[in-house]
Amino acid sequence: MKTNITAILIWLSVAFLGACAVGGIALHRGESINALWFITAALCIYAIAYRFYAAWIAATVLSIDATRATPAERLSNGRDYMPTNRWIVFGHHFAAIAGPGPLVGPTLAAQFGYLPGTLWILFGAVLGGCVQDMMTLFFSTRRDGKSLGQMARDELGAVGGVAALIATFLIMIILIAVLGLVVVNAMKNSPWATSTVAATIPIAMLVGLYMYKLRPGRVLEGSMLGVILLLLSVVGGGWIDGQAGLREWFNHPGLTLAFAVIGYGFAAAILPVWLLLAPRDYLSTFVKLGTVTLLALAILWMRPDIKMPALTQFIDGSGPIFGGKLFPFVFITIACGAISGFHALIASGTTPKLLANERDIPMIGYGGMLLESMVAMMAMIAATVLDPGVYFAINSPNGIVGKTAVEAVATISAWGFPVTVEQMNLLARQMGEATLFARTGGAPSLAVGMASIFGSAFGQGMLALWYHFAIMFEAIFILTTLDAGTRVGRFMLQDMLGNIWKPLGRTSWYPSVLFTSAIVVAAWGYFLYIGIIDPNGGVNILWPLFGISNQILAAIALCVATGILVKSGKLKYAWITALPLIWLVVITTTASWQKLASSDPRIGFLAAANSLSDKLAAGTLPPDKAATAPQLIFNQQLDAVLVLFFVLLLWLIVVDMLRVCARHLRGKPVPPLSEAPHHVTQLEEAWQRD
Amino acid sequence: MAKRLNNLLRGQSDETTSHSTRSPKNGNQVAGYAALRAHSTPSQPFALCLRRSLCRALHLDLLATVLRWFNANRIKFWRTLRELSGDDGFDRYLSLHAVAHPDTTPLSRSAWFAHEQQQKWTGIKRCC
Repeated sequence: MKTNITAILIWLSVAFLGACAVGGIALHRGESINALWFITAALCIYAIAYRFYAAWIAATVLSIDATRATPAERLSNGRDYMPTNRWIVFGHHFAAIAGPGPLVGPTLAAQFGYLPGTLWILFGAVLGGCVQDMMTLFFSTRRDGKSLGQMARDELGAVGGVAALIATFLIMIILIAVLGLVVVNAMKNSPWATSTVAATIPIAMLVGLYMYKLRPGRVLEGSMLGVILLLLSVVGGGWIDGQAGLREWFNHPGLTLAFAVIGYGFAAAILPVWLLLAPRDYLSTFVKLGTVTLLALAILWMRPDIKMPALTQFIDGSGPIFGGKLFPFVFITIACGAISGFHALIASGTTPKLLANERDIPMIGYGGMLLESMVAMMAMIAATVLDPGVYFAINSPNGIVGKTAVEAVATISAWGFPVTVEQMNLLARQMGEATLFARTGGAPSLAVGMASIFGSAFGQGMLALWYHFAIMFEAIFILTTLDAGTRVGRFMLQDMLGNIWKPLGRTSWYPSVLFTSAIVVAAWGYFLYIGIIDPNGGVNILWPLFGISNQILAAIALCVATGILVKSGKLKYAWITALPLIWLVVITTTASWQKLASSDPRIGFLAAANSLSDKLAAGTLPPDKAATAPQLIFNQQLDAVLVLFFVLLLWLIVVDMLRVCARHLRGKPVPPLSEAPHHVTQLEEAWQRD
Repeated sequence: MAKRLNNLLRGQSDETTSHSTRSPKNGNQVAGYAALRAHSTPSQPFALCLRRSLCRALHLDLLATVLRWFNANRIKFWRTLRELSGDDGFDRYLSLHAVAHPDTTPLSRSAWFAHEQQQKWTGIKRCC
């Protein structure tokens, strides 16, 4: 009884502290607010959500059964199915779900001010994203580790399965394009960044050779060697930048770099995995975990002040980084970190095959996503500790604020965010760059934010090194996602084409590998190319498209989960997944509608196409813009078709799910639950724990 | 582990008791700390005094405790690190193979690694 009272008191004080912190963040209107409030709010909310909501879902709604053998135990084959220690599974799951998304999204959404993004990261994660991940993990575990697409087909019908497959493929293409754009914008006209990022390729290959030929399977040795070389490459990039002749080798405009990234993507897709993809992934995982930990420590140590206002005037839809009102676009921009449909692909198919016991599901599914949400929170802090003027100067594309530095600072200062050319020049010099203007995409402003936090925690003298370290850190796992995504896209395409002509489906037949890789690379390469030549910054088009497609995948996962809950007679608990689902349907449909029908050319695809073709017809465009205008017009129309397709896909599967639920409730036949039969676990650990 | 963490969080007094019972080496060190804390002995050399004030200023005693804790659990950490990174994959494969197929020869280290890499990267393994 005594411990009960102590526990109640502790949790009440956590709740009180959390409420104070959230209230403080939400109601504060002043010069600046300390980042510690954000961390406190996040930790309290996560702790309460995990202890009560996740535990309640696990016990009451899912009825998690610790005595039930998991597929990892029943189907153990020493390869993909293998019961594994829960901390190890947690590590693998987190490394798989946390990519560049939670770093870029919050940085872009900071244009609305710190408040909307922060609240969405906190509440979107605990009520939406974490629930989606945990439910999908649970349902897949009960179904022998089936993938989301297979579950959709079994539980809802063929429509759901096909929708999940197509959504996954398209999301992959757009994701890779937008990530490529982020890297290119970080490298353009920067010999230091370009040479460092370029050096990661031979370093990864060297590590690959080491792990494969010299010392097979010695992953730690190889990774340590690689991490040291990566750090040297950051220093070496600075040296190259100082050599008058050498630096020109790496000094390129965006378009050249875009073609380099496209070429690299193709090469990476057809090279054997051990040579590039696998070693790069080891390196990026180590660098990612290390840097995120370091950033957390630095934020705790420095407790920097947030300088961005709570809300900016751009909530009206006139934002420079991407057009669109606060509702729905903040919810579209921050997908990873709040709710990301992509996670459902990892939580089904991959992680369940390692799970030793069902009772680890809340920790891995819910807890893994909480940690990613924390990463998003730190990205938000790193973006908002910058002076708002500096933040907008780095992130606003030329087409919005003006081509020259003088024009840009005049526009941004007129918005009420004072910034001077001298300030930007000084900052660029400190960071070892020629200019920081118009580096849209989130990576450079995040790097400046991280560099200033690291710099003030560990010494100002090395700002340029920290900046390029942060760029290298982002680039290395963006390129990993690019490699891995191209490969997965290739497999999916081969799978689909195999239905048309058998040999194309053979994943190891080289002509098929070349052919399908080329199609996938051409698909994302096209969007990347358009993103670079678009004067309004491709991020304005691509990031919302990516957000919409990612949320639609999340909606598909939540549809599957809701359908299963209703079919298992748990209608009264169906709101757990139905509420986030309704919210996602509302925001994605609204956003898609605005992307189609808005008369503002910065929001509506068709409006943009029309306004550009009007200008082209009237002959008011300068010759260089007139040359690219037809491509841009076509692209806007293509994007309109794409977004229409996405939203139709979404409604198709929602209606299908409602149909299945309604039939079930009226006692008509529906596809049966595909849950695997109950077997009692033989693993001793299940009985010993606690 | 939790007990050790609690000791660590509670501070040195508990840590003293836990360490003095663990090993003579640690016991000596702790005895040294105890003598420092007493502070009154005239025989206390200047170097010790200096060390003590430095320790205080830099929170070195806490650091030392943390380091000792890491040292005491170093084998566990090393094992976890190897397991997390997959460094021990081949050893695990061998032991699993010995149980599952005792009559066949297992793959060589490099053949196993090649197979493992290929297998790992055929599905969706990385996300945004």
